[in-house]
Formats: sequence, C-alpha cells, structure tokens
Amino acid sequence: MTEARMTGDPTPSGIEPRADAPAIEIIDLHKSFGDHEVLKGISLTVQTGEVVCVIGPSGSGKSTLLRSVNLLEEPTSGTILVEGVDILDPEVDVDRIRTRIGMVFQQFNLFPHMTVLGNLCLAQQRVLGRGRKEAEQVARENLAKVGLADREGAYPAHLSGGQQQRVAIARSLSMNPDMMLFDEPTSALDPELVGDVLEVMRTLANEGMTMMVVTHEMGFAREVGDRLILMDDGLVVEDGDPREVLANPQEPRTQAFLSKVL
Amino acid sequence: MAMRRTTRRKLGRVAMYVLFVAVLAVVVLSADWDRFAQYFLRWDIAREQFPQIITVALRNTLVFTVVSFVGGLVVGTVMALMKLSSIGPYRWFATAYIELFRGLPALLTIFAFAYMLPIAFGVRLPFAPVGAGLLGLVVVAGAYMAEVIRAGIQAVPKGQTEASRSLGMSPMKTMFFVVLPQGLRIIIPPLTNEFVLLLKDTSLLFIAGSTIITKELTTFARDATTTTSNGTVLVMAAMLYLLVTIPLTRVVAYLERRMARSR
Repeated sequence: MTEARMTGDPTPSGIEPRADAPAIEIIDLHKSFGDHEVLKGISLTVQTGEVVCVIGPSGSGKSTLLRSVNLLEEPTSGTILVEGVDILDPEVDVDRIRTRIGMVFQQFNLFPHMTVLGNLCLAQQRVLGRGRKEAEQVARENLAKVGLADREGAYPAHLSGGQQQRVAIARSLSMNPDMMLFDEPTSALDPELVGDVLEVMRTLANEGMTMMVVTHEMGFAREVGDRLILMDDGLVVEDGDPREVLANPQEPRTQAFLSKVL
Repeated sequence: MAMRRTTRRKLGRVAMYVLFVAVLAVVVLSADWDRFAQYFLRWDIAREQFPQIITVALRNTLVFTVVSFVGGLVVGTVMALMKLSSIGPYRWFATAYIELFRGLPALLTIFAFAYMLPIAFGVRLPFAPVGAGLLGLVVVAGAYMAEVIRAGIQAVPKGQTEASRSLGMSPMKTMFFVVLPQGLRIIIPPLTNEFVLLLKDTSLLFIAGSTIITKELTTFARDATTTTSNGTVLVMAAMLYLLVTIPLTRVVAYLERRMARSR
C-alpha cells in the first residue's frame, strides 16, 4: 500500500481515522464514464476546518470530484484519503466513512414519505444506533440551528425549496459529520431563497466545519471560502485564496470563465 | 335542399339511438323470460343457500384472495429485488420465474401445485387439497406482482438512494426504509387491480378439489347447480363477485385520480 502512494504525499493510511491527517486528501484522481474521461488527474488536500469552494464551467467535473469523496462515484484510479483512511481500500467499511461525511445535494433529496423529524432521525437510529429520544433531541437541535424548529412535523412537499435544503443540511448535521460536501446547494432554488441557505452554510463555516462546496455563488466563495479551486475539463486550473483568484486570476482559462460569470 | 350541418348530425345520432333500442328490444323480447326465470332465478332455491353462500363460500373466496395477495406481495417483492440484483444468477432465476408463471395459464399452475407437488415431495400441505392449489395461486400472483413492484422501485428517483447511502445507510436499509416505502406507494393502483384479478382467479381453485368447508364461490355455485339441477346459485355467485369487484375498481379509479393530482 505504501509504495503505491510514493508519488503523492505519503501519508500513512489505515482503517481507523487519524486526527492529525488532513480531512480530505486526493491524489491523482481519474474518473471515466465509458470513453469519456471526466477527471483527468486531480490532486488536492482539504485541511480540517477549511472551506474550499469549487467553481468551473458545467461538465468540468466538479460534481464528479465531490461525489467521489464519499464514493457516490467510484473513481477509475487514484487515491482518496479521508482523515487518513484510504476509502478505496476494500477492507474499509464505506458506510462507516459516509457517516462522517455529510452530503447536501442540488435537488435536496429529502425522503418525501417521512416528516422532517423522520428524515433527521432515520439514519441516526438505523446507522448510529441512537435511541428514538436521543435521535429526536439531536434532530431538534439541528432544526433550530437551520431556523426550522417549528416545522418538524411537516412533510417535505409542504416546504419551500429553501426550507427543504435547510432540512437536508440539518439531516446531514444530525449524523455529527466531521466534514460536509455541498453539491451546488443553491442552484435549484428561487433567487430569493438562496440567502437563507447560504446563511446556514456561513454559520457552519464559522463554527469550523470542514466544507467542500461546489457552487456558482461567487459572493459566498469570496466571503466564506478559505480557498477557491477552479476546474476545467477535468483538471484543477487554479487553486488559491478566493479574493486573489477572483481579483486577479493567473490562468487564461480562469480569466475566461470569470469574465462570463461575474 | 341542403340541411344545416348540425341538423344533419343530430338526425344521424337519433337514427343510431333508434337502431340501438330496436336491436335491444328484439333481443329482450325474443327471449323466453319465464323459462329463464325458472332455471336461473328461483327464489326458493336462492333462499336455501343462506347463510352458507356468505359464511362459507364468499368468506373463503375473500380469505383465499387475501392469502394469495399477501403471499404474492412477498414473493413478488423478493423476485423484484432479485431481478434488480447485480448478481447474475439471481437476475436469471427471477426472469425465468416471472416468464414461466406469467406464460402458463393460472389453471395449469394451480393444477401442478395441487397434484404434482404432493407427489414429488410426498407432503400434504395444510387445508388439503385447497392449500396446495392456493400455493399455486400465490406463485402466479408473485410473478405478476414482481414486474409491478420492479417498476415501482425503479420509479423512485436515484437521488433518494444517493441521499440514503450518503447518510451511511447500507444498500439493504436503503431499500427497506427509503426506496420500497415510496415504490409501493406509487404502485397502489396497479396492486389494487391485481387484487381484483386474484379475487376472480380464486375460482380456478376448483381444479385442486375441495371439501365442504373449503368451497369458494364458484365451486359452491357449481356444486349447488348440480344438486339443485338449477342455475340460480350461479347467478347469485356472479352477483356476489360484482358486489366486491365493482366497489374495488371504483377505489382503484379514485386512487389513480389522486396519484395524478399529487404529481
């Protein structure tokens, strides 16, 4: 295992997470769908407590990269370490890794057949083995945090998109994850609902949550992000302080992309 | 002189009604209703059938329907999951099972289970002989329901599975707590329809043979027709079937309208 990693940063890996390891370490990640190579060798490290925003044109592989971190996409080759654990190691229990990584989707993906409280409690009870009382208590704390304490009995269909996305964030938080992945969390929302969701994410960032955010919200990236990564055509084009990248992009491709979106 | 177009259309419609009523009248009037009533609508015979036609025959029909529906639901769910499995042999088995029992007449399958199974395995199923026949009906119901359930599972958006898996839920837990509850809700209308079909198919259980206490409606009516030399009980059985199936098909229609609205 160790020889294979000599190309990258040789962080020793094991089955148990290590506190001193970076939150996420990606080394030479490739992913193809059939003949189409979406990720062409990505390497990046997300330190604990860091907020990394990923931007780029559609089809650049941002979502695929994010989804690879909790193995919703199986990489073709490369290495992904989460808290020092090689998640592609067949010995590793993927379900256990996933409980430590919260994921928020563009389409919210709340369970429509359950109430808000049911959505928040399901995995706590079925995966973490928490009792109903404990699960509900954790759920209520997180609902209060996203400003929806009064909606615990509602079904997702009766909530606005912004409320649904905040419930989805609370659902992830209820698993007490060490880090959160956001896959275009505000792209499916009406413009006037985006603010509430970003506010919740800002609070999380201020509390020191490790976050990787695929987004088109340049304002959020500038104000909340510790780092900004621009991807194009399956590669990281630029990686740096968001204020600097947005103010004077070094790469022509970054300049071209920013001139279109800003 | 040319008639107005709407007038011509109205006249055409009236002509169709007249023709229809005339045909109906000819058929109704040419039948010998006295003789018909004598053979099929005898009140004295009808009265003799109570209460057994309800307490035994209708009750058994309903019990057999529910048993084969629930059994079929379990078998169908297992087959649907096998058909969607990533493991080849499971898929092949489920496909073969579904093709076999959907392709055979239900009557033959019931016959096979009633007579071949006890001989092959030397066992007597409870409530013989109808128990074995009922097992055949479960197997047939399972084959039809498997395809419906598979469609229901596949109708649940992929994002549901992804959300569940990303919370650390295993594939099994994801299926049982997230996908199946939603998939089954989607297929309530076709499943209710399946229930109606099964209700009628319990009439095929006569091939398995029956005892006095295991007679369902059709067997009861056939036997009564022989003993009374009169068809009245067949008509009664027909009316009892309709008494159950018509309200049920209304329920299906209602559920379908409600599903359509909630989308």
